[in-house]
Amino acid sequence: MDYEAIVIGGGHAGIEAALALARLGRKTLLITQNPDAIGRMSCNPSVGGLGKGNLVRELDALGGEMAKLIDASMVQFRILNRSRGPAVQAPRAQADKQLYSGLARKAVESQGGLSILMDTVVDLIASADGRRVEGVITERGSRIGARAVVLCAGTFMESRLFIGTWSERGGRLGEAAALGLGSALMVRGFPVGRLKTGTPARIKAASIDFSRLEPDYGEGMEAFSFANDRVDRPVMPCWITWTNEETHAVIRANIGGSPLFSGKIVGRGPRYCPSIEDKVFRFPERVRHQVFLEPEGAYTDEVYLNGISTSLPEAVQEAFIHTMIGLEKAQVVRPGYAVEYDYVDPKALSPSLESRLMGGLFLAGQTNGTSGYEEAAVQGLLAGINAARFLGGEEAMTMPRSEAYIGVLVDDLTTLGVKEPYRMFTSRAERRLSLRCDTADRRLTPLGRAIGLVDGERWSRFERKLQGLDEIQALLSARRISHADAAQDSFLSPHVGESAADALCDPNVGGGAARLVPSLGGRFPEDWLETVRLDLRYAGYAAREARVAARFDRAENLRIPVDFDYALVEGLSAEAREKLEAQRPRDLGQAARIPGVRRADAALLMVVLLRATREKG
Amino acid sequence: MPRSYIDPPLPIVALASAPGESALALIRAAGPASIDLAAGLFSRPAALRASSGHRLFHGELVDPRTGEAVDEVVVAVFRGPKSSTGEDQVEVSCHGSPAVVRRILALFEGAGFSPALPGEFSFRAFVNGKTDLVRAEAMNELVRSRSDAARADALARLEGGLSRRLATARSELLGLLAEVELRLDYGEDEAEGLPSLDRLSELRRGLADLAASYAAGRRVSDGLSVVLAGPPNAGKSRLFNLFLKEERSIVSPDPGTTRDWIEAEIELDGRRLRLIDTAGLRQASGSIEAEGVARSGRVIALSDILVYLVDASAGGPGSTGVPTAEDLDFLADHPGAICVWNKVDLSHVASPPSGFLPLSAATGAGFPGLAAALAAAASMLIDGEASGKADAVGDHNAAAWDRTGAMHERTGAMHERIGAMHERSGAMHERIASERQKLLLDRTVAAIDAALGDLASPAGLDVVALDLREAAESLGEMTGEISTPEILETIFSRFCVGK
Repeated sequence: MDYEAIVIGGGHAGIEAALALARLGRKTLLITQNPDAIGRMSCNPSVGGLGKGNLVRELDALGGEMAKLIDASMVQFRILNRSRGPAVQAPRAQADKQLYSGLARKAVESQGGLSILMDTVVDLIASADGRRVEGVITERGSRIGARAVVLCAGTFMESRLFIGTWSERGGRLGEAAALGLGSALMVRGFPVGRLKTGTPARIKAASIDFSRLEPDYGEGMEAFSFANDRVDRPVMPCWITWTNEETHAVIRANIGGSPLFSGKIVGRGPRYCPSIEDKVFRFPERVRHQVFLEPEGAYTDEVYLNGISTSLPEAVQEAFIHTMIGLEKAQVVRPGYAVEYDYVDPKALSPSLESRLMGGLFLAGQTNGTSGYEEAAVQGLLAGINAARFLGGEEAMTMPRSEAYIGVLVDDLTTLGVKEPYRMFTSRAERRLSLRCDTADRRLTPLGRAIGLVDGERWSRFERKLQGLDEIQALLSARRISHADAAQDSFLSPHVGESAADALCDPNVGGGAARLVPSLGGRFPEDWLETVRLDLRYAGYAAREARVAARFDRAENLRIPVDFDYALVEGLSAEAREKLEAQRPRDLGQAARIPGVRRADAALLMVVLLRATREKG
Repeated sequence: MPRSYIDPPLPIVALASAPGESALALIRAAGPASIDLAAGLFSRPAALRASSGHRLFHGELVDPRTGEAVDEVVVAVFRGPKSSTGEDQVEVSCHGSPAVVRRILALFEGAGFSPALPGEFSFRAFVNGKTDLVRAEAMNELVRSRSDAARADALARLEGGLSRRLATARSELLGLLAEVELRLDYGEDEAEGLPSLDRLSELRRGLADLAASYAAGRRVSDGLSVVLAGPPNAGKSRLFNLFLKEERSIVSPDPGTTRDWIEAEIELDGRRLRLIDTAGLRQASGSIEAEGVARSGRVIALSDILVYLVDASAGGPGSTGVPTAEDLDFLADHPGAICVWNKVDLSHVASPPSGFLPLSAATGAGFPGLAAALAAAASMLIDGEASGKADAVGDHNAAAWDRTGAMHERTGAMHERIGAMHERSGAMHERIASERQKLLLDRTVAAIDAALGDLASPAGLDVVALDLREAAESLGEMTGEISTPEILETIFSRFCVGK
């Protein structure tokens, strides 16, 4: 074998997969169509957001790269959902796109044990029985051997771009599609389908009338990575404008030119990120839609028009952009476009992201039907880790839904599959209140350490923090609320005699831990105090949430053998049997979540599984 | 989240004997701490707790909140694994009236037991290795068929108005939850403002009213209780027997040996009625009499329809038709009672006072009039359609009714009472019929209350979402499961979101 592992694609999934493999000591080759495009941000210039910010923090705790990259390249920062409850808050940062991809490329290039090759993979090499992957075949005819292959092809497999009536093969505007691989996978029996996504136009900043727009500078920067105490970088503003009736009239008059509406695109697009033509037609009662003008970075004058992704003809794009305040004379540098691409149904993956059809083949990122840099990155990391563990003959790393958004994402993908590009939402997590952004390190650093991606320095830093949190907790428990406190703050009155820790559970008690125990202020970082306060505040709610979700936890434990014969379970509904046989859930929890599997089916299955366990025991 | 077989084993309780009237009933409870929990309801808690199992205990079940004795029972204690389920287990033999059974089940649920799922005792027996593989095979069938049957049953119950109403309430709740989730899933940039939750209070009111309809629903499923009351020698027993004789569709005359009152199930005008004769209670002598009177009072207080008999001949020859002061006191406390002027066959009795129906329990004269009045009252209680019936009755029995006007006055008062109840339940005819449904509705309402409370406090929308999710899931247990994709589906179909 030439390499132990091959990673196909240098996007956000491929970077994490390749780095994880190499860092875990596996001789790895990253094959990319263009090394200049490593870590390129194809769409919006930002990382994080609701649910997504949690993913980035979790990835960081496990030893991934993305958080460090955005910390070093952000140009603006914000915590979203400040007004809506701490458990659902998440960081988001605007990125300098070129700086981001440059840092990503440097991380990959400087990683020992990791080689980069510019080529396009057109097929896999399989073992004689087709059950194991043995390497890849490239466009230039090279056959490269490896026992593990991680496929992170993004939107590039058999992809096609659309702008109005114009259509051409391509993965991103100006970049060639990866032709052959999607078809080869289909021939090999992989369940391949089509999805669609889109991106808005980029316009020249100098052509914008900023005097008529409100700037937005975000808030004080904070680090995504638990390895960084703070981030201090120059801020670039975003600007806000709106579509209006005239914009919508232009779009309505020209809708015939949209490939989405003319039926040229068959793949399904994401409903949560609709094109502006979708928004205008699906929500005719809305008289305006918000548009964020986001700088693509310090290196360029291009500005990203967040909120109006489109594949209308270029002339129409220009016309409707010109109807908006501040954009009357905007010059379009790159038009918006739609891209349609092959994805592989993730239901054909096991929870380790290894293909169930071909051992040693792992799939990650948009190829699995997801959308978003963050969703891609965490899959890349998981696939890379599990490819390394596969090579070492170790058991795969998986995460329960109750412990990480990553666990929710992978379980959703491999159990439910996708009908549209999958984006993380906090509402997908049954244990949302326990999966706060600020607890990702406590939830997952020990796992990252056990896997081997958390180094000694990071580990001792983590241990120091744990100790600090304990101390804060102890000090808050020792401090009693007095009548004097109540006299100063009436909200403390109901808590006289209680500890400060108890008083902080009350949402009416304002201010942080340091207000009740001033000595904490100087001794510990503000975010540590806040974490402890939120732990206290949410303990009761999290327990309630856990009760509501308890059924899942228990079901997780009951494993279903890989070769389980559902035909032996008399009384299963025909639909349930068919679904279970097709999807082969790993455990009862997954089985119960498959649409078509009724509660009675799950109960029956449990009886049979328990019986089998007892027969063995 | 609906409880399922997969859940960690909770203490559970269910009626193990056949539902309905019987001399004795068996209530089974099993699960961790079940002996200890049941002991808290028993007059001799220490004996139960100390028992090593396989022992019977005689005593009373006591409502721990009021200290009131609910029934005299025999309790069998089994210690796991030496029990039919393999868990700690308690079996209560009690009197077999549905009211007593219902009361005891409610006590157990109040003490921390959950209602058992269909087949759950058998299921636990298998899980704990108490049934062999052959029986386990059979039980596979059982679990399946029972839950299918339970589902079919629930669907049948939910068909029509109630199911529509619950479905509407649930979809409104999901809509509100989607509004909240929308704000949580998207930032302030993309989903502005706060969800409008004005509908929530309204929804809560509707569901609380539905929960309150439990009493009416229970009347349909178990039958209305008709209690015959009155002073000694007023002719209650005779009237009771007359009912049994006249109404051919007697369902189950009760032997009456296991309780202090006599009860029979009759069918009148297509409705099930539980006829209860309190006769004899006051005739008991000595210290038992006080107890008897107290019990009689409880039975009367729990009655749906009260028939009050007065001995028309009590005043002696030539007396005017005036009820005694004692009768008037009683009737003042029970304004809905149907008043009967009995023994009109005797030659010297006065004509009935205003509002009293003339009857001779001995000859059967006036019985059709009483039966019609009962039917009208039953119909009012269940359907709230009183006046028409009462009119028809009046026409039908004009001869026997020379005081229809007064009768109407009485039924009018009752109608008002019932009318008010129906108004509270939103003029809906749907009602819930089981303790389980009531429990779920109560839970839903409590979760909505929590949501309203958290909305009014600085608790945060993330917590409100938890409240609403709990509410929707409790409601979902009655109508089918809730799932996250469903919430997202609602979000996508209703709101314009996304950059």
